[in-house]
Amino acid sequence: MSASATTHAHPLRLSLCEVEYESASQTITVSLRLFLMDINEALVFDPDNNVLALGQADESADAEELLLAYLNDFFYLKVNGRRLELKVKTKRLSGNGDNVALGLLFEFPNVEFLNSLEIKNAVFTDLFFDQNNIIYVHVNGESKSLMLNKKTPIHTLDF
Amino acid sequence: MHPFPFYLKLGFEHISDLAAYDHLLFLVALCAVYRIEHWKNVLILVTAFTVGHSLTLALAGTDSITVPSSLIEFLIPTTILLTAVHNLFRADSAGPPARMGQNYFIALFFGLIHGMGFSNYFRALLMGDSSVLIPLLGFNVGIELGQLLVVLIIVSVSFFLVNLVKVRFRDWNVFVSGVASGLSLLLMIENRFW
Repeated sequence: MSASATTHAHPLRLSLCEVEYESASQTITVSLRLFLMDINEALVFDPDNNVLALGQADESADAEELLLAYLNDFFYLKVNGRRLELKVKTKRLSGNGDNVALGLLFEFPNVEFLNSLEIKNAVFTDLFFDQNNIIYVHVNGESKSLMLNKKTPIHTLDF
Repeated sequence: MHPFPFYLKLGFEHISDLAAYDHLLFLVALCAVYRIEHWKNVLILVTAFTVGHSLTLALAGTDSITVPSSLIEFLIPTTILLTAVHNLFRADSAGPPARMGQNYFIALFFGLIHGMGFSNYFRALLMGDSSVLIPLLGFNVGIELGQLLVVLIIVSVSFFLVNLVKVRFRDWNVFVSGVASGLSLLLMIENRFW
């Protein structure tokens, strides 16, 4: 690993979250994509430390629990005023070198209707002042994009 | 918000982000040696850089180019150093810039390298989504607009110092290129891939 880890040439600080709801399936799916180096920095205070090995074959036993504990502090979804409990359905890595992202998929079945959706996404804003978290919301074929960050970590959509 | 203006804003803000100063440094090294009367050359130069940048970034959704990130992050400050050193060998100090065609080509080529840094980043983030094109187009237009603003500031400072305060153009060139060389050398050492 290069010595460059903490000095990205292009420190664009982004994460991506896609929320999808279809009345027909009554299911909300949430896909969250976070850079692995940012996760390592948040959880073990070292972007290069791969001791948790998230999404890898030798993933540490408590890695997911640690990640969820962090996410629960900085990320939530409230559907019709009720906060959803995060449980990871799948994990997938993509990219190479310093640019490896971890894709997390969450699924929430039995959502009969959707009146309001409150999203908080302040992940990594505790680490980076310029962190921006992109949110795409797709509800019954209609899409919206949001940008949440340190200044505006929460947004509510009413349907 | 529609994705296009959304990503445009992101690109624009990225340029003004001081944490991403390598991009600003490249623009300073690229444009500081032009006088305000050569604004058209500067405009083409910056646009050539953006075109190169866009070409590689447009491949983010595909796997057409896979150059290791560690190599790219070393090459980016290398392009800044080369540009700064090239400035020092400019023969003339007052006349119109020589060999502009070659300079445009270099800006385009260096744009390709800078774009690869983002290309790897976006590819990992978007995981091959089909909807990459609009975000990337918006991001690049935002970057271009941000760059033009930065270049306007650089050329204005140059105008103020050289035309109004009467600093010698050669001194200004050596000062700017020296600063850019020093900072890019530090970035190269920090980002060495071996």
